[in-house]
Amino acid sequence: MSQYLYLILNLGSISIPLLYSIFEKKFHFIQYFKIAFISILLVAIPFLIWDGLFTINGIWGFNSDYFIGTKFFGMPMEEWLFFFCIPYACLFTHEVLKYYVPNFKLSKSVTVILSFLLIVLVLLLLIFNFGKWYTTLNFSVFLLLMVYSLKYHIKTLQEYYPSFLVILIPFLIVNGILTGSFIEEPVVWYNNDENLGFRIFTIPFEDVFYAFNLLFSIQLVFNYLKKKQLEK
Amino acid sequence: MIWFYYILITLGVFITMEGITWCTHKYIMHGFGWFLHEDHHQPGYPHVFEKNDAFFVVFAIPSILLFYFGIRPELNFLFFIGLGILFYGIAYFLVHDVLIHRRFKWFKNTNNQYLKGLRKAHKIHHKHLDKPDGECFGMLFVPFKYFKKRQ
Ligand SMILES: [Zn+2]
Ligand SMILES: [Zn+2]
Ligand SMILES: [Zn+2]
Repeated sequence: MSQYLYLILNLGSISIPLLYSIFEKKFHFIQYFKIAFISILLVAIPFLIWDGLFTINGIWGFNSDYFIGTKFFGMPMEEWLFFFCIPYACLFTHEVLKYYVPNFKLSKSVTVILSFLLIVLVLLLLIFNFGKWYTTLNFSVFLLLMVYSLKYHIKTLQEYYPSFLVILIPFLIVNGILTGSFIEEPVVWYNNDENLGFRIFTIPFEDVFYAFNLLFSIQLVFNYLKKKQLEK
Repeated sequence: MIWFYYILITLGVFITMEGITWCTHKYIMHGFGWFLHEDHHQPGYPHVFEKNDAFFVVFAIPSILLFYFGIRPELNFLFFIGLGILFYGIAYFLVHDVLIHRRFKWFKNTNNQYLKGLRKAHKIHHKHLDKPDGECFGMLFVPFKYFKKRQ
């Protein structure tokens, strides 16, 4: 049974959002299905390349006990699915929150100050751990994304920070299982020489920023495409 | 206990930086460094960067060095001096470049008396276009008269 674990996590994450998108008529997220897919795909490409390179170089890897066994370019099929299932669930969550609780956002000043504090934290951690591959690449992407968003997408940041806190709850559960909480061995293992070695339960600290990089980038592309679709 | 001292150092440096900045602004930027500060006193900003931004780099260098030596061989007080300078730099940037000169559209309609006071005081500083003239060189701490509500 255990070889289905990673697949079940993927399908479990996407199932409710997908069913809800199809059958709920009021919010009707299915109307954005095409642009959701495009945004997820566009961002998935660089992240999958990153993932592949890290897998080849042993910065992280996958435990064959927990996936079916079909691999593409060295990565299990379930890992490929991860970059579609999880983002869809998160994109959906943010859009639902925005629809039902439109005032669920931070003020501009709080957003700016919070972003600066995050930048300082990440910058310092980056300086001290420069050369560890996961930390270096992940935090550099985060800093670039942050500077870009502070200049051009401050409003999206205002809306996204609180949503991200909500998204972190399922994220901690799913990623917790993937990194070995509740099960005997991790599904995804990390080479601790290439990260900070600081874990939240079993989750590497960097993963929170990795999730933000992935999900927020998708959100930016999605917002852009959504605006275009609504203008038509 | 050591963390208590580290926090005190960071705070102390932050406050001290206001004094250092005041002196730098008055005696260096409006002194022999005027050639770098001059374009900041001209109305209108045609470019993304001003020559005046060079001062950010100047203040960043000691901060970076302090971070470098502040973790060698292990974490020590130098790090927190660097941190105080970094936080002051960010505060200065947010107040001077964002709030006052609006280089980013972040805090457009603030109603905070303190922030309004800072803005008023710095506008007075910018009334003077030439080097020898000058008043209100402070950035986070300016004379109390600017904080009073409009009569
Ligand atoms: Zn001046
Ligand atoms: Zn000025
Ligand atoms: Zn000035």
